[in-house]
Amino acid sequence: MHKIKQVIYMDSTYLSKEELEAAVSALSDADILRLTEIARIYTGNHEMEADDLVQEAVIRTLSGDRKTCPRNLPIVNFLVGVMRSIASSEREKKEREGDSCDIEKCQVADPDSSPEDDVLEKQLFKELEIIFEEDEEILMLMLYLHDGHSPAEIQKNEEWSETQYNTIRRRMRRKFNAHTEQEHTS
Amino acid sequence: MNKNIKHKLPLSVRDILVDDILESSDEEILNEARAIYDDINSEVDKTRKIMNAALLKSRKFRLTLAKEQLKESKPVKTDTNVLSFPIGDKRKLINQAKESVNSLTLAARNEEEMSEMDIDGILQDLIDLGVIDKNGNIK
Repeated sequence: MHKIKQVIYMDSTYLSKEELEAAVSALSDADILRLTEIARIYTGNHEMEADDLVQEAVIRTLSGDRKTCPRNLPIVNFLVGVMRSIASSEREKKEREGDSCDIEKCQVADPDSSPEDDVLEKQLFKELEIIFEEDEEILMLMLYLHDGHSPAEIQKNEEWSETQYNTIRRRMRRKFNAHTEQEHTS
Repeated sequence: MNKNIKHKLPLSVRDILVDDILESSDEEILNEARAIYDDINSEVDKTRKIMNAALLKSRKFRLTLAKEQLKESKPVKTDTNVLSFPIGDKRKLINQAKESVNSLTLAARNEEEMSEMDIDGILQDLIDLGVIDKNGNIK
């Protein structure tokens, strides 16, 4: 009987809390660095400190009765999803408090939300266009993103291979990083 | 790798930057970090400490929850177990108490004639007087 129970348990779709704890404890240095950088992207406009976001994501993942990480999903990807959700909630909370309707204070725009967010989204894209003005492929990528296209649609429309798309995306991230580093030092 | 992101980003752009980080190899991530941080280990350790604190907090939370669940699942004990004895045992117990404590004077009525409510009343009195304990042991 005990063995049968064990088999069912091991075959379940989601990680148990104990398995999650073990997975979080066993994260590699590269995964930790990934989480740190992604947290900075999500908290880019001070709505929450990056360290707080990482901590909160781990706490929420391990606490409560919600279904946790599916077995077929890497724990890092799951934690990133939780961070994304927390960051969005934080932003919505700020908006409800009337603290961030000002375009300058908002970090991201949710395409499903208010007209104010649409204005903000356009404004943010304009700012990024200036950063990437010399790179036509990145500008094209931005155009598609602005219109809400998925990566698959972009690749299909532009006849970019997956490798080409990934290369442009990587270039975009590096240019963006270089720009913000430059802003920081100047 | 960017330690100074203080920039507003549209949601879709943010998502593809995140995708790129997730899809980069470990070696690429480590190389980027080496170019940014003086000491990668201290950067990693800092985040690990934060995560370990979260793990500890979560374990404490689960322990508290488990304790509460255990408390809730425990059967509710009546204050006086003796009151849940079969009526015959209750009568026997009253007799034993009478016999064991010379100074004890009980109502003149025969126990056989008393209702269960009367018997429970006497047993409660015996407990209150310290003649028997809640489990029916004569002291």
